[in-house]
Amino acid sequence: MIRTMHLRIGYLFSILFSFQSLLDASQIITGNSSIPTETFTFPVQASISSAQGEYLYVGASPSTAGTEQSKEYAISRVASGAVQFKELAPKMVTVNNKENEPNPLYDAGIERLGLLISHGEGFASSADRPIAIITNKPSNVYLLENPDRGSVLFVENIKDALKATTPRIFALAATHFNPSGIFVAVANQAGTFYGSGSGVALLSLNQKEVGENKKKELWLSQGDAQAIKENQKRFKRAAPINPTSDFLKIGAAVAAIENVVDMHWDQTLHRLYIALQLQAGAGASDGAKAIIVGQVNTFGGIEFKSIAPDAVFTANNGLVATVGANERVSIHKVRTMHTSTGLSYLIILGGNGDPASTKRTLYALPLVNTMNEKNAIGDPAIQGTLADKNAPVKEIFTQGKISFLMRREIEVPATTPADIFTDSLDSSNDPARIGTGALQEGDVEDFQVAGDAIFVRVANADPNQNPGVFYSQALFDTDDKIKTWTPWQRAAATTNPVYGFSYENKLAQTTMMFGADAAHVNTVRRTIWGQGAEQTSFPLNKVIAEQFPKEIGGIQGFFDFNQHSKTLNGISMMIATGLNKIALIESGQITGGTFSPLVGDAFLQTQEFKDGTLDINAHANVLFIEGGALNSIGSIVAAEIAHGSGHQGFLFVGGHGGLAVLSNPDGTGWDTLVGLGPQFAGLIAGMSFKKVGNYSFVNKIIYDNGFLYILTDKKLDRIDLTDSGFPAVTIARVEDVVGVAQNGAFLDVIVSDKLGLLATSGGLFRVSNGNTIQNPLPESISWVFVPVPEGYGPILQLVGFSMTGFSQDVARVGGGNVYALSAYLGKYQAQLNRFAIKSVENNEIDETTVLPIRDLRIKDTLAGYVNFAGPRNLFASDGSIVFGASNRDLQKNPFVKAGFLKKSFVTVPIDISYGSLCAGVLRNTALGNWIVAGDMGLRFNE
Amino acid sequence: MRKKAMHIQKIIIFLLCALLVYTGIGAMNVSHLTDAYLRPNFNLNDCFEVAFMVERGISTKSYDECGCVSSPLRIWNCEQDALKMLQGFPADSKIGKLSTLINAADDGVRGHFQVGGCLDLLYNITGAARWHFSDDFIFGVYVPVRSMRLQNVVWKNLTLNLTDQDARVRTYLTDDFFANVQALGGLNLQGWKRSGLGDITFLLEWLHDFEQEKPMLKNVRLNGRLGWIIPTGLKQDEDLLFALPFGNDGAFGLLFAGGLDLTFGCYFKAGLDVQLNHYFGNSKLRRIKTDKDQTDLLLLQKVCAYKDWGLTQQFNLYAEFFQFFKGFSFRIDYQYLKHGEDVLSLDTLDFSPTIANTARSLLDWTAHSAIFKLTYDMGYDKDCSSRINPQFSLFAKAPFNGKLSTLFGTVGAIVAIDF
Repeated sequence: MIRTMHLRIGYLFSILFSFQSLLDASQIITGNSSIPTETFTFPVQASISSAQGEYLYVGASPSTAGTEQSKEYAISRVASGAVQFKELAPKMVTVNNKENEPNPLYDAGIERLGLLISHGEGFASSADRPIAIITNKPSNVYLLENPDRGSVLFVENIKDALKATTPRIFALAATHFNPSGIFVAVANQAGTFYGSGSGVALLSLNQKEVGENKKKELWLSQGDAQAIKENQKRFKRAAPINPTSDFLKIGAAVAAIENVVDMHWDQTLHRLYIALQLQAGAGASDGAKAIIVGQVNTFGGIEFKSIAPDAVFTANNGLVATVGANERVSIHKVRTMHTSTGLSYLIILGGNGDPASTKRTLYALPLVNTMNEKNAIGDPAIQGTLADKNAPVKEIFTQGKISFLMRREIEVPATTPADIFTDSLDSSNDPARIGTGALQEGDVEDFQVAGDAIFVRVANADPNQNPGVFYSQALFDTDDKIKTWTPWQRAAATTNPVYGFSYENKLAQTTMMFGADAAHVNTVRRTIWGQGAEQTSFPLNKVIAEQFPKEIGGIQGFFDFNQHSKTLNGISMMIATGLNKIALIESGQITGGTFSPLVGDAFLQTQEFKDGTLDINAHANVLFIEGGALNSIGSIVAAEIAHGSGHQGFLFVGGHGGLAVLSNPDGTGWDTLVGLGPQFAGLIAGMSFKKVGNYSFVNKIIYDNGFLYILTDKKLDRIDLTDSGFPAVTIARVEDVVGVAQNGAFLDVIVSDKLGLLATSGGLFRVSNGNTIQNPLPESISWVFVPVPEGYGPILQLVGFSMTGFSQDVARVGGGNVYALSAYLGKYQAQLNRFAIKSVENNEIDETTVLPIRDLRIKDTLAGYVNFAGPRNLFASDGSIVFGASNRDLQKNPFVKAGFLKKSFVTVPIDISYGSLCAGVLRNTALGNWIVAGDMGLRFNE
Repeated sequence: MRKKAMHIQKIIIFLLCALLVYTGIGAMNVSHLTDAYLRPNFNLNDCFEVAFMVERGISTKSYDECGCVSSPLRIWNCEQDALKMLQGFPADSKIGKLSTLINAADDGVRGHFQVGGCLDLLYNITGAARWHFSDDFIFGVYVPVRSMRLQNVVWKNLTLNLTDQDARVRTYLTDDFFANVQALGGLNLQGWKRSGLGDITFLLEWLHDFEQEKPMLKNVRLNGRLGWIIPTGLKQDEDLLFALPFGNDGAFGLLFAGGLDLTFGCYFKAGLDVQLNHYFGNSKLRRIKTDKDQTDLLLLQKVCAYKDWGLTQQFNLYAEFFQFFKGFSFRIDYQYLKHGEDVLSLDTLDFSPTIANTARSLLDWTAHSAIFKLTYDMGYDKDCSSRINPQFSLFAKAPFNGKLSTLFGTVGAIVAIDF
């Protein structure tokens, strides 16, 4: 028995390092600072991301106004692919069409930023145009009409609803494309949003012909937001929002409106959403509606409507409204989401309660859309209001010989309390509850919609929690609506306070703003693809590459087990597998009550065990075990941790040579009351890998509900782990599954409670109606074919998304989604199909248990979700992005491409050209970074 | 009357010879008696000629696109790809399912074979009967038979033993590769020996001497030839490895040729000859590529395909010491052969003709050879009034360059009798 232990640095020292600041993990974006570790020499505060995350705009902190700190960097932006901020506030610019004027934005403090997206005549391009409110001129609105050319338009002294100059602007929003307008939430003369005079002003961007040459110039001007008819006398004034406004109050006037306003313009619905924080009147039947729906009428005025009829809200639970004496409803931020299934949702941060208690909950609420085939609003009165959650979905198709799906709509508004989601924690509100509930880590400062996912940032974490960026993914039902969400999971590879962020779902790169505290944010970093940062994952990459060199096949399997995995006791782990060898990698652990990812030099603390046996207790962060029974397994491609009877934990690995288990000499597993704990406590001297059964070509191992399922090319076995000796029964054979028989193969499997989903060379199969995969009579288990719309035949990979984050729970609780990679590499075809899975915990399996999500392009023809237009061996997705990986094909290098829906997929910029095998694309649940594993080693997005 | 009877007798002999003797068109550079460098000189004083050629291969040289390779089985691909062999078939087919079962990427090594083997020309017996029926015209029939052998075939599996995919490829495909390929596509990957007819050629020759009164140049002979090639040859055996056709794989053909022979002084000749063979396209069951990356020896799919043959061009330049000692002549030829690109049209919509036409075996191929020939003409004495004028020749052909071709180095002998 040979043992080599590397203690390159002391354990305590390594732990110290492992929880060090993660600021250096990502790529720093340079600004005006010459110090390599910071972007700006001054603090920044306001930030805004363009719709798809292509640009991040940041503004100098108000405290820097006029201090000659920010200068031309008072507003700056960075493109998603750039590493340098571009200054957008040069000293001299064209101001309101006068050339070479002093720039009012130069060295300004930026209170707020907005974005106007316009194109067409008069505009240099269709790029974003930042809008700013500056500290020293809080009543003015500035528009960088042409950031590249240095042209600024502004309107001074924005008028409130009473035609007086507002002392303060609370929020900005702008239309996308023509007509170009800027919505400005203005304070009344008291400087508040509560009371007479506050409201929303509308600025218009118009083209004028001036001079003899009729030179075309753009001008920004405030219009009459109260205009309701053609021949009305026009004033510069805002549309009023008062405590007595019908669209705000229920019963008596609202008792309070906080000075926190957020606005969002939805270009699809053509509606403005205004989020407020309100307190209802003192009567028991009084209430308040914290979301206002706005629209621009044909006269240039803004008309407000209720988000839903008052009758819908009867208690303090309506999420966007409350009813009850002095009850509060607080919406901190509002955005909209247009799902991949074609429906529109209102995404809110907040809910019923005071502002302080509502900063961790996000909800998704269906919206009415009445756009017809000609893109005209069918019923303006209900357009964009809350939809009846139970209403059917209408599909809108193009006219013509072939009817293409334009969008889906819910046209029925909510009219009764039963029509809406509430903050009740029962399962009926699962579709609305983003992240399945409140974020545990801390208050959400901001969020961003990306595809079918919501990303949030946390700056101030609770005790024993780490801040950072987190996401949740929408899961869909067969009626195209959201059925539930995945739990919050860490993203973006940081545990530092994030004071601003922008996520782009082209390459899954996140740009984040960091600082010592909220007042000293001066560093902007972006996650990048590469071999990992020295302070985070590069050391792991290094030790793994040494142990799994390409010459012996490299990494052939890579698995993540989050901290909530059964048999893990305060740690999360990853497993890398290869030829005759595995690596157990502790990816995170609870220390001092806080779960934190392990990073940096912590990964250099390794132990190596030969002959497949632990000759001393494990006490390192990375364990390499090779030889012994593992030699007979050969190339290992499957791994699973499982819970045996009592308090036993087992690690199973499988490969072409069979199945092996890590256990004590007497066959028992580790004590789950102890382990697997930090540094793999629980793995003790004497444990060794032992071969189990007589398997070949093990493709996957799954543990579920006391059973271990072993999928080989030719059969699916089940082992009851409560029995000793791992007795196996075969529950599916290739020859018994119709359509798979000759030369057929089992390729992947998902097991969840009673349900088994079998991916085969002949397509997708499930356990038959009324049956269960746990059936004590294995010969009674039969499999039925599940049609895969426009599938290519074989199903190479299945991934389940559930409310718990575990694939095994896809048919539990509220059900989930399964993504199936339908791919036939014999013709270089690959497509992703989605299936909605019903919970079978308390139900029998029936015809509706596994049904395709209605991804549709042409009327009445179900299709796949994503067609990769080329071969893919595996995929990964988090709802915001889809990765598809392809192995080497002769001279064609392996690659990973990323994209989402109709966007063209782009190649992820990682150098894997000398590799051949892409073994996995997955997210490290501890750190939140994407990992690509293969025979070329590990690549990270961090 | 007696003269007429003799003439009929000669015609009968000619026809008998035509039935009994053979000549052949070779796959790649196998010799043919219609070739300018081998065709015996016809004594224009006689009416008939029968000729026999026996040729045997003594070496084989193979060329890929870049140069010489060690085996004729590598002229199209340096390695054969068993994984790509499974590509391009429907997912629910036997082959498609196997491909999915194996589920392995072709990393450039996995599923690859290095193939070796020896292709031998055992014999190439060529016979001809020619009839000088008019002053400048000769009509001939050339019938070939030949025998070839492919032996010592070795398939060296290059698949590593490192990954699960390697193991799958070995277990499900390459460990019992010959049987698997036989079962999947009916293709025998081992050696063979084949004998049979080549394509019969009917050749009409015109030749005319233009005597010169120049100090050096004494004679200019022009010749033109028109031939009709009958596809009697053994066709390519699609179920055997590299079993090239003995003729032109069932295609009729036309032969157009012309030459110029210059005689300098009494003993030196030089000349050139151009021969163009046009083959008419034909349909037969052929193996086709179903994936652009497939290698040419591992094609599992057979479909009825029409092949539009490329033009075969043969250029010869020679110099000859003519009857420098009694009837002995010695001739050196440089021969350049080029076969144009063939094009397939498929009689099915199940497979792509574009992919099928990416087969490297359809590409144009070339051959460069040097031929040495020593001839003794017993009728060298023009004053001799013998009624039978035999000629004996020994020749050797040495290929020295080419592209996508397998070329035989051969030795042979020719006997021709004019009467």
